[in-house]
Amino acid sequence: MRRMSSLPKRDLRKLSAYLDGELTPQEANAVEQLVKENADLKWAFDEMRRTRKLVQALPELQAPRNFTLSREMAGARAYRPAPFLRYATAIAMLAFAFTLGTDFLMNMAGGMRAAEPALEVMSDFAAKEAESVGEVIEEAAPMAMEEEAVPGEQMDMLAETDVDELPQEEMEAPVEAEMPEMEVPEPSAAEEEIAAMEAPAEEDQAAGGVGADVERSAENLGDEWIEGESGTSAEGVEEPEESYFESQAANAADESTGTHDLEGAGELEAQEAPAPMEETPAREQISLDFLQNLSLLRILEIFTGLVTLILGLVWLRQRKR
Amino acid sequence: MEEEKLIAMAKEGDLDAFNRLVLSYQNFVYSIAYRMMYAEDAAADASQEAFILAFRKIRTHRGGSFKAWLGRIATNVCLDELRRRKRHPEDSLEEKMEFSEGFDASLPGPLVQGEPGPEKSVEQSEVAKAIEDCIRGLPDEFRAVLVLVDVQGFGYKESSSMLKRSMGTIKSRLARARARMRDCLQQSRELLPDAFRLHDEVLL
Repeated sequence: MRRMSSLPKRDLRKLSAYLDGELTPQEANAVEQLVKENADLKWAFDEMRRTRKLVQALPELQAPRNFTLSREMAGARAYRPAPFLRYATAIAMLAFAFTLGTDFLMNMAGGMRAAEPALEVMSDFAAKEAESVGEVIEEAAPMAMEEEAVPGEQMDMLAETDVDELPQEEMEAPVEAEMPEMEVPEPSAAEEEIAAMEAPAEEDQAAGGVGADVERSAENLGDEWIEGESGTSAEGVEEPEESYFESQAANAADESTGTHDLEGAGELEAQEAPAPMEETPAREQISLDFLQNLSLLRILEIFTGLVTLILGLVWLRQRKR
Repeated sequence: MEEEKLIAMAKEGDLDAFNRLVLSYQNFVYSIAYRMMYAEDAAADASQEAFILAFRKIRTHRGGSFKAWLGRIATNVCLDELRRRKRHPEDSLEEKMEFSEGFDASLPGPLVQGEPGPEKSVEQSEVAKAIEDCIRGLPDEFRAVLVLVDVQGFGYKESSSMLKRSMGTIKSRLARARARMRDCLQQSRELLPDAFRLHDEVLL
């Protein structure tokens, strides 16, 4: 039996293409001439033509069932969310992430400040505990009382630390005016200058005083925990502007003191008043801005979070459909 | 409704419009799938997958012949499945058994369209069986070209695009597929009608 597949592939390719009219006119003429002259090629060409006719005669098959798509089969494509919905969801998510990140960073920055009031509360608590200890506290209390009873020393320190910035004469008058309100903390060597700077703030000083009390009692007790707490509370005195309300109170105290000075002490006090007042408005502004930013961030967080949630749910629902 | 309008509606996500296209082309797709795989269940699965893919990708249809676009998807689904079976032959044991029993044109799958008389039906089914058996015996790539060009009537260029092969490859594979088909059918030449009977010698 003759086999067509044993013929050269090149001849088969030309015959096949010639049969389908896929050759250029020149190639077709050449193949036509060869088929006329070569019996094998003529046989192959005829057999190939018959074979093609047989295959072409095959009917189209009937599908065994319908292949129409159900909603489930169509899946996400059927109700593919509109592009704007996807973009809106993505943008809302980005905005939400941004507000969260900003809030986080602001909290990071403000966390150190925010910890201060809490530490003061803890120091108060520690002080109360220390008072309940008994004898040790009784020993510590007189020491603190002594220091409180000798404000002149504190005044000297204030005067000394402020010498660089203000003349000695200018410092004396406001300090004298504020003296009755002050509670003098035990000034550690490293904190003398800071304590002097914060002297006008009554609450700060009170906290410092408590911290000093606790520190002293802790030393007496040899209680490391209390010592640590008191140390921290003493550090807290360094940055009283952290707490908005605290600074407000301090500011109010400063203002009232300043007014009182102006009323009672004359021009000299009036000139001195701006010195402690310089920091207060800035502090207040910072705290106010911080609070405003914080509340705005909270609103933005809630808003963007809700928008993201709603858009995401709509998007997922449409995808499921 | 015009096909272009149904396609446009399907592109907008209208499943009903797409299903009308499915009804128009399901025999075409199933014919390709069956002749590529020669297993009814596999062909039906491939056809369904092809339509699902087509619906999901219909936005990529940039005009031109929708039939050729659909045929391309169906062909590639089938080729992918055949390649997967070659990599995992244990998955196609059922189809192997079906193959070993031989092709049966009287089975519901490859029903011939139209309702010929009983005698003619038997005659046609025998001829069809012989042809289908020979097609099934071809290598996958040869079979794909033969089915697209000779059975479905696509041109070389369309087939080249559908199979992602060069024109030279299409020409070569088609010629060799035809030669193999001729040699295969020669073994059943007594079944063939006179007009289609193959010969070992040149007819004068």
